[in-house]
Amino acid sequence: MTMHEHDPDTIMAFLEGSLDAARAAAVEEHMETCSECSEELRLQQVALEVLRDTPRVYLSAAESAHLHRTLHGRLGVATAPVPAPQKRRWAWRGTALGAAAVMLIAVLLVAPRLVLIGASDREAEDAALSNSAQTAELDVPAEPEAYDLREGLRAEAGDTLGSSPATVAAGEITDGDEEAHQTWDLSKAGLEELLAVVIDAGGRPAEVQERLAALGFPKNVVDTTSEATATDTTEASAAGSHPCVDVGLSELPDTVSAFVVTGGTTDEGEVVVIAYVPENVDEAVLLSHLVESCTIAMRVP
Amino acid sequence: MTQRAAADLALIERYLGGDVMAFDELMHAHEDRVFGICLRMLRDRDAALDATQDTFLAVFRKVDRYRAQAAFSTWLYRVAINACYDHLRRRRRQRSESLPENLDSADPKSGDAFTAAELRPDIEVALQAVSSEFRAAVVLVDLEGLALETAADLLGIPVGTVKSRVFRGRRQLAEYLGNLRPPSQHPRDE
Repeated sequence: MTMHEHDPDTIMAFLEGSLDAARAAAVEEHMETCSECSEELRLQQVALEVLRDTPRVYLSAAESAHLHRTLHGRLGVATAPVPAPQKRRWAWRGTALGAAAVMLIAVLLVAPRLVLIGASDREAEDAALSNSAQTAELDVPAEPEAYDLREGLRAEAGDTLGSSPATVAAGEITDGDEEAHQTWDLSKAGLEELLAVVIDAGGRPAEVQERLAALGFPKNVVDTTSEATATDTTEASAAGSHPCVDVGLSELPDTVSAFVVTGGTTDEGEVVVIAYVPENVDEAVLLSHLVESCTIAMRVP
Repeated sequence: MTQRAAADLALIERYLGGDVMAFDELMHAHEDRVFGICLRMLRDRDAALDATQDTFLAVFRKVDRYRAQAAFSTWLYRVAINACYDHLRRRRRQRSESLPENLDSADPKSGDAFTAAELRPDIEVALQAVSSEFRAAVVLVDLEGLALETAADLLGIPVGTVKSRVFRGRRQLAEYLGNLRPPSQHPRDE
């Protein structure tokens, strides 16, 4: 092959894997004899590896609040109650999803086959779910108050069924041989409340389960996704389905460094997911796809 | 138009209509990314916060002129990059006034950016060794994951130029990192 000295386009395309097999083979052959190009390739690979391993950076909650207050003042915007969320979005770069050795990511999948109440207004439901899953920003109280999930949902169902049935869904959860029927609110508020439960439990999965069980959810609900594997995540993502659903579960960690709560629409129906990120997981990049799609995420305080 | 772009447009309309919450929602949607760009460009967290503030200030002051010919985010990130360039220019001026002439602020060893991290430079330190134009391209494409076309639109340069800057920026970054490693880990003879 003829390759111009330090041909950036070819080297970049080779690194991206976008060359066809014949051209890629030609480049490899050329690299064996051209020290300049092979050195250029090496430098590009070093840089890419470093850049891909670089986590995103975020404003702290205090910095964000300060920024909002300052801009309100300087722009003369009437001051709205700016939340001081404990949440931070948590993301990893998505370039290493193919990592073979994947540590665990435990997922609580609530109501894998939800049946919507008031399904006549499907568009409104989808809009509400989409809003919950993609744009919701959790304004989590600093110290979440204990929340009676059942009472809260019952109350909200009473309010919303009359006006906006889209915000309330009925879920079916399999609990061993028994089937427990549960309602779940997939609106932003509902997800916030779920997140509050998780926060209140200190992000400890066992305690979260316990609390959810106390609120009426089956204890083994966490096991509902045990058949999923990490590989499924990549495949599901590639297939275009909702990546939040297919994250694998092998065992629950004792402590977690972050978690994700989201709701969304899948081929299976509507789902609510809590994903736990164990501490010290180098392969946390696996979560990047999840978090990219699920905008509600935070570190455990 | 993407879902995000449509949502941004709706928020802008609400903000212009006097909805204060729309202002905050719009900021929440973009502030982390703007801050991320600024921090990668400037490294210094306080400076990045200042640049983030300058960015939103400039954008919101002119948001009534936004005509949605490009995505709001593209406009916003372009302003952020320009705010960073302004900060870098000011920093360079301040250093040239306060430092001896033989110390080049572009040399990371000459500034405070290269202190504790000397033995194990992190990406933020290394990025400062990359010239600002190349750094902007690397930050947008490799760190923020923007498409080459978006980055080109944002930077106001052809796609080919973006590719070239990314390529050269990566090379500078790798060379910088390589030069700091012990010779045994650095096969290149220089």
